[in-house]
Amino acid sequence: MDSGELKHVVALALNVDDAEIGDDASMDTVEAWDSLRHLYVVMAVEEAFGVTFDDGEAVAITGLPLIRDGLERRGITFTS
Amino acid sequence: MEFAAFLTAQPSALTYLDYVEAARAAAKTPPALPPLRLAILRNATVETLVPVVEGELLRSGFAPAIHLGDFDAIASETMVADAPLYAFAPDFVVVFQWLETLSPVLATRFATLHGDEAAAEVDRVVDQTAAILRAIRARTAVPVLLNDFPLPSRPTLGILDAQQAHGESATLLALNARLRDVAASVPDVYVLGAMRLAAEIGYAEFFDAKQWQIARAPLGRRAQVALGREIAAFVRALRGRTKKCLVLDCDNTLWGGVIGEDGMDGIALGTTYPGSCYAALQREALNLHARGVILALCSKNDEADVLQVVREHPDMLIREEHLATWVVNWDDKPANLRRIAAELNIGLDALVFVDDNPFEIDFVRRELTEVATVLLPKDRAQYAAALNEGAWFDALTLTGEDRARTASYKANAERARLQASATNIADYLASLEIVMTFGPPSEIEIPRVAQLSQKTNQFNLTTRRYTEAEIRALRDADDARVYVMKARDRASELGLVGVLVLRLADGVAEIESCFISCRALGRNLEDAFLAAAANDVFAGGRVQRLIGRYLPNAKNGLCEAFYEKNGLALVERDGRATTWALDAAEGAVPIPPWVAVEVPQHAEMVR
Repeated sequence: MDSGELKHVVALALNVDDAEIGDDASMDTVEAWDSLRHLYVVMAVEEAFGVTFDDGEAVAITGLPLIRDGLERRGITFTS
Repeated sequence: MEFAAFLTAQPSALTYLDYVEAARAAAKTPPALPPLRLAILRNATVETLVPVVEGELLRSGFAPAIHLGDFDAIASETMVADAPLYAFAPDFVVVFQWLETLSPVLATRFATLHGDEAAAEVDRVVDQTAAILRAIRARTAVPVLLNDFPLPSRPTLGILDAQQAHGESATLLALNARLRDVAASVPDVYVLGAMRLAAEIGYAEFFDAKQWQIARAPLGRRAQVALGREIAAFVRALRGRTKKCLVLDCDNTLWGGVIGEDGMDGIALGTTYPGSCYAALQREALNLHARGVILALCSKNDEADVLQVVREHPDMLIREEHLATWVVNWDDKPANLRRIAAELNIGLDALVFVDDNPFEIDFVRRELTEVATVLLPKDRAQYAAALNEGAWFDALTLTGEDRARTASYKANAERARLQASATNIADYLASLEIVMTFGPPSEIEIPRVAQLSQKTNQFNLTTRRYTEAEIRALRDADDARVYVMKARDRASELGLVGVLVLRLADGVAEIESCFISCRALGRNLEDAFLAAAANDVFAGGRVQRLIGRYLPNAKNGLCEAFYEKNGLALVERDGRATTWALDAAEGAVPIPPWVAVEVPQHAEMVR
């Protein structure tokens, strides 16, 4: 899986341009990424990658690396 | 997904993310569409529902503006005249109540209730909801949508619940029935069927337990998509965007196989698999037909082959009597769909086209973006469900006219053919023995009048939409008149096909609205109707001048010259919008000689 696809999904969920989402994008670095918008992120990633996070993960995956970890735990590997 | 593809995509092909993407695109480049302002008041987190509502409104031809009320502030937002809700000036209001916020007792602790406690709590919920609806109605006349409640998936009493007349499930069903009654008691309040949607999706997916605990967000992804679509269906029904005609392909759609190759004995259709899949699709089409949807066939075949199946195949359910028309030839489907729309005198945007062939569907999507399309899924067991998956035909009324519709469209198609062979148009029209009934609407006709205002786009001079309550108020007002036209001819009963709304002030009657069903056109009935109204309003001497306006919309070009043709003089022009006048002193307006006029029994014509 190309990480560009994940960035696109997160950008859509945050309603920002894809370019605003770098490899280390997180709630701390992206202004639009607040707790309300985080709802969209969880929902969007779950749909796009066909996974379901548990409640603890859902509140914890507040940045791109953590989302990647969560997906990799479910067997989705990233090539870039 | 590209924005243009999003607009024409089949509903079942769209994901939640597609809506999010489309909403982002539309926010960047707002499309040139008529605006629609929709307020959502809520007692739960439903922010994630907004992109779906926006996307569905865009797909329905509107540029959405959404106002989301504060969390759990429905009462304070509705009961104060200067609340943000009213400053927003919505066209529609959605009141979304989640039971666990509204009544934690009923939603989570039912087993702990004793005696009459549940009934008392139901009363409280109903009274509070009624107060909210009345508060809204006291301050704005726009339509309001109120959700009902999903049934509990795990009732607190377990298997005992189904045994109890006043158990948790029974109590919620009763509560929903009470809400329906409350909605019916306040004008233009409609029930948004969350109970049905939860049943369709399954409660486990409808309710997102995780996001409920984290963020008080109860709706799962599929619930948001389903609710967004349902809200848009109400908007379309009340704003004249309901589709009118289902156009069906034949081979591998109405039956399995190819009639030209497999023959009557070789096609699959009947009570056993796989023919039963096609029979199910046909039954679904006939249900739509019973609701007033007109049916047509569009097939690449020899006409004789298809007609033989329609007339003679023992398991065929759709018969000639159900079809308004058919176009069976070897021309391309976009051309044939244009032909069908022209023959039935309806817009291309009133058509839903169903085919099993991706090539044909793509061709139509590309050539005729206004036609809604259904590509039948691979799984034939899902064919019947696919026919109205976009809720394109959903309406809020079902009238006698709906049930008789095919007959009049069919007669139209026959008239079109007859007319082609007649040499003298006046002789032809005289031979139709047209009778117009003219007068104010009776009480039972009011739903049809409102419905016609909401559905009519082509012959509609000012494109004003009315609710039933508004029509009733106008009919009873001293300074307004509402006239309706019913018509019949030798071939068919057309029913109530025309409405004129006039406002009277200072000796002038202004035509606020004039709209005629397209199936009534081609007989000069519209001219007779205007003449009868002019004569009636001038009678008695209170009115000396009749004013009419034409306000262009995307589709009403055919009535641009209506007033001019009927002898009104141009008094003002503003772009394509025009104002026309006729003075009483000019004498009686002639009614075309081939239209006989009757006055209905209930009418009191002079006030």
